[in-house]
Amino acid sequence: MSTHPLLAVENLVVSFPVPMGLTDIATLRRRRVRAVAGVDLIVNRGETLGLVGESGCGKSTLSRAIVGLVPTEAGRVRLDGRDREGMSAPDRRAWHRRVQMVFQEPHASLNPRMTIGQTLGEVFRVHRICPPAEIEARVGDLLEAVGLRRDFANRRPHGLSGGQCQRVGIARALAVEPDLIIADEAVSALDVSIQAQVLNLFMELQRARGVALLFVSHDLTVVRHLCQRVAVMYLGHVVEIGPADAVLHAPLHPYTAALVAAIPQPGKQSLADTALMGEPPSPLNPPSGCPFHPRCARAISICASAMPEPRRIAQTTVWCHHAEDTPALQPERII
Amino acid sequence: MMANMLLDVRGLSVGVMQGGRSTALVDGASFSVSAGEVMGLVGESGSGKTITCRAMMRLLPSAATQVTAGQVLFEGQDLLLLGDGAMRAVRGQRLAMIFQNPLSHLNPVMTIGAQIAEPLRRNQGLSRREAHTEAVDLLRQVGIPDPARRISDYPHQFSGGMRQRAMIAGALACRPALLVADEPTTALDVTVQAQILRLLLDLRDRTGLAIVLITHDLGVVGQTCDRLAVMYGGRVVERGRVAEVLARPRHPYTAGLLASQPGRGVPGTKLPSISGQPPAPGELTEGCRFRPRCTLAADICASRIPQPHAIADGWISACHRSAETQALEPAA
Repeated sequence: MSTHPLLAVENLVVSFPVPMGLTDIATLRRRRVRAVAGVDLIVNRGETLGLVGESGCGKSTLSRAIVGLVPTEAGRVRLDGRDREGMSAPDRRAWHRRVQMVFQEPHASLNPRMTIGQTLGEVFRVHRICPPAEIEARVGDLLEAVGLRRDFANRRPHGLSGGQCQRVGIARALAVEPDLIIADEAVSALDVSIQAQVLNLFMELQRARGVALLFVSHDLTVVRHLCQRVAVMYLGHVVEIGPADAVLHAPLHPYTAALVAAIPQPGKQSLADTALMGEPPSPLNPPSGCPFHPRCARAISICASAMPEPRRIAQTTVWCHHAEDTPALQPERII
Repeated sequence: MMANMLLDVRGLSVGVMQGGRSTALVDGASFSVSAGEVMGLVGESGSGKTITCRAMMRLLPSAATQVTAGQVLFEGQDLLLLGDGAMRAVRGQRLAMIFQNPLSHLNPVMTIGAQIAEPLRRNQGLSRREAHTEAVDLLRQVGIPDPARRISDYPHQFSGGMRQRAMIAGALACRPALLVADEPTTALDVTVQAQILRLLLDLRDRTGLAIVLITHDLGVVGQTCDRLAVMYGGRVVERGRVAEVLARPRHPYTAGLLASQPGRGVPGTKLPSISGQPPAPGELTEGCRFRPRCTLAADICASRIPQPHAIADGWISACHRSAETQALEPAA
């Protein structure tokens, strides 16, 4: 076994062109918005890393860039130390086979005109995983592995509930026996009682198959239940990453603390007082220095001028100028 | 309690006509709201919570969907018996509604200010200038920064949280007694959700506004509501005070819903989940609709519809096995 982590993302930058307005055309200015602004993170074999943040923070773009669904501007994505850039086509296909994705919208991510059996069988055919004669049996096994009956192979997505479609999406990802599954808000569209079923499935599969999981979600209670480590993103930057226990119970970054305080929980009787004011600034005009400083209660002059360097405190890495000076923030202990 | 009862929904049933037959979407829902109270209407998608409120507001989506039984007593009169004109007056002035997605309920080619001023001029007969001044004041009340300038913005220039604030301002324009809020924070991020919920509670404290909050999130209910009604398959299965019901739910569905919330158990352990999925409209109309997913189901559950019965003062559960549900695991 190599000493490299399973997945290593190094200084990854993803930007998109902004549609030009009249003044942009007049001044020949081409603007780009940086959705992911230089992110480093690793995922170890068999672990679950939660990636959390609010809408627009870049968490979905980052996960899409890792599987290669959006082009990257700079940085590297390595699997076992190997970058997919510059690989030959067959090597590249093998690389991609090891990283699979499960999407948020269960119905939208399945072809409505194909039966479930055709959708799953296609994966076996494209990646030449087994002889065509065995495909039907393999599809049946796969359906059973995600808790569906074998006869679901003959049905089409419109006859399935959201939870059942999401199980098919997971089966499709599992078909190639990947080392890493990236789940982008995979349970967010499901009702609570169904969500618990799908989360249990993720945990079972992970235990049985040792697959690593990058679990992208805005729901911190789900992440707390599922993940060993957590990365918090804000405006395209990772601002805190570390063990789930530490990050969610004794956050070092003020943004993480605000996020944790805002989680509604049935056991909490009242709304937290520490709720953040305002909303995240537009990534089109990111603030100077620390991206969080315009909303941060602790901000001082250096926060507006310099991007904080990463600081390592215990097992957590945090990007905040105040991380050493202040004790861990104590949001009301709720999760 | 009865003296300041604002809204009393009694045995409300709504059906949709399909192929000459009426399929029940809401089946005998009853609940009440007092002045200044926040009532949570909780359920999963398809449980009938939105249809119940739309029927109450007389805003059902199509002619095929009709109220088939029940009464909606609001300030003493049955809204279901009012003429269209009288209902419009109630809806504009005493009863208001806000929705999950403000962008689809705000007019994209009218300024925010014009949309808030419109009901003021129409219902309260204010002049253009008075309505404008009032609209600025309303925007200030809902926490829009620099309201005098932002009043001329169009909806697309507002962020998601600000649009929801603008819709609340519009709903409050005529000082209604009751606000029906249909999943008002579901599309928002948690930090913005906390701001909007706080705003609604502040308005309640300042003006005595009563609120029906439709949500699927028991966390939101726990933090904002005084009482709740839990809906399943078109029926109200349990209702009572939030502090009591969430601490010791007496209907197996409420208990299951609460237990499947992540964040309560030990991380990494199996979450208790409710097996199976909710019934489609028209399915399982005999007996208890929750029985295929219920761990306590017995023969009687298949044959007789469980009637609501009192657990304690103001606490009602519709379950044949309520005597046994005391053993259900209490909330952590």
